[in-house]
Amino acid sequence: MLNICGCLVRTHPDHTEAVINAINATQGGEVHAHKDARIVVTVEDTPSCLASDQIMALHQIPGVLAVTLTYHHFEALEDEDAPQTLS
Amino acid sequence: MTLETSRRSFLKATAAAATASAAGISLPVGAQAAAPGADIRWDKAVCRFCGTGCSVLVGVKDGRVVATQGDPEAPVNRGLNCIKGYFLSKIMYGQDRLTTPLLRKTNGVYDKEGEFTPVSWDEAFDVMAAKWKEAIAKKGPTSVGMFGSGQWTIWEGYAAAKLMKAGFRSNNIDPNARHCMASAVAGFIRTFGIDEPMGCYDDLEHADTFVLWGSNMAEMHPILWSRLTDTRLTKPGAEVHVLSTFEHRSFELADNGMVFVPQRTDPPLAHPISPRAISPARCATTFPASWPAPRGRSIPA
Repeated sequence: MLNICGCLVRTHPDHTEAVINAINATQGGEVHAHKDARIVVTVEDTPSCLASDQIMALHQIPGVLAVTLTYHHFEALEDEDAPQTLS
Repeated sequence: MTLETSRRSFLKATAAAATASAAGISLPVGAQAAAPGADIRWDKAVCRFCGTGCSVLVGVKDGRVVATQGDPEAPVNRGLNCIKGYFLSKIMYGQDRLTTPLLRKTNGVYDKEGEFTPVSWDEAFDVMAAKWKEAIAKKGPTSVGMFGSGQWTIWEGYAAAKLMKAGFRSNNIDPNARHCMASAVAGFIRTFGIDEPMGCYDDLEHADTFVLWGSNMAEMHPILWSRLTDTRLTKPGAEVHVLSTFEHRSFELADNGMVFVPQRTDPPLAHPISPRAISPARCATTFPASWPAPRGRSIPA
């Protein structure tokens, strides 16, 4: 299953660098860009941690003021059965 | 690069591009190529997990919801969703979701004391129709009624009212609008003189000072909180005061964070405000000498 989220993280201006380092140090998180204490992050499922749990964990990084989800994509891989669709 | 790896990188680039665009941030050259998937059909919907009113774009591929994103055109959420939005699409495909009508049965026959058993829609409607006809024949139209949802659409409400009033000739239909909001509206009118929750989202950009009195916006209303955060961090002189019975995440942005001491914080704060909010003539303007001095545990920003 591909499960990928685009998140916008707002930080205290003094802590942006530390927050970027903390996010890059996580397994499923990746920083793509940042500007004015706002960071563009993608988060995806890892074998040990779901994206939703990682997003909740982002809130706990010191200096993080707000985390919002902008984009969420999930789809079954070609060799997996798609979950049942409601008709 | 395997197919899966390339699909993953493409989706990550898409997610990053949508996020950067909502935030007005430019991505490094090369990362901008990805646009939301051309193989996905996008429609509009509203998030119903709280009352804020965020607009959501829903992406469908082969008859399945595969993506959601905050609607960049929406004046409320401006391209953002909160963590609750994560479950908007997932919740439709949960394994334990109810997908068929259930009827209480014993030995294959309807029984009010029986166990819930999956049945077809035809059977569900047949049993419902039989029971309603039986009740109306015995006791007349006042013997049937319908509770409506606060989340049904205008069209659903219209159809339900027609069914009950024109069809069954019964006034026994009550939606959430009456159960819940009627009392709230009466309270709002009496207290504030306006029949709906007061305030305007645009104030989040126009105001200079924010007082969160007992509200934990950071966790309860993350989208409005993100707008407040933007204002506090970009507007010179903007202040945030957070008043609460315990220290929570909203305190991280507080210029003045106060944790209530029972009986010593609320009354001294409310007292000077009430003459302005109500009427100076109808309120004491001096603080009773017998009251304890205002006190709160101040938490520095």
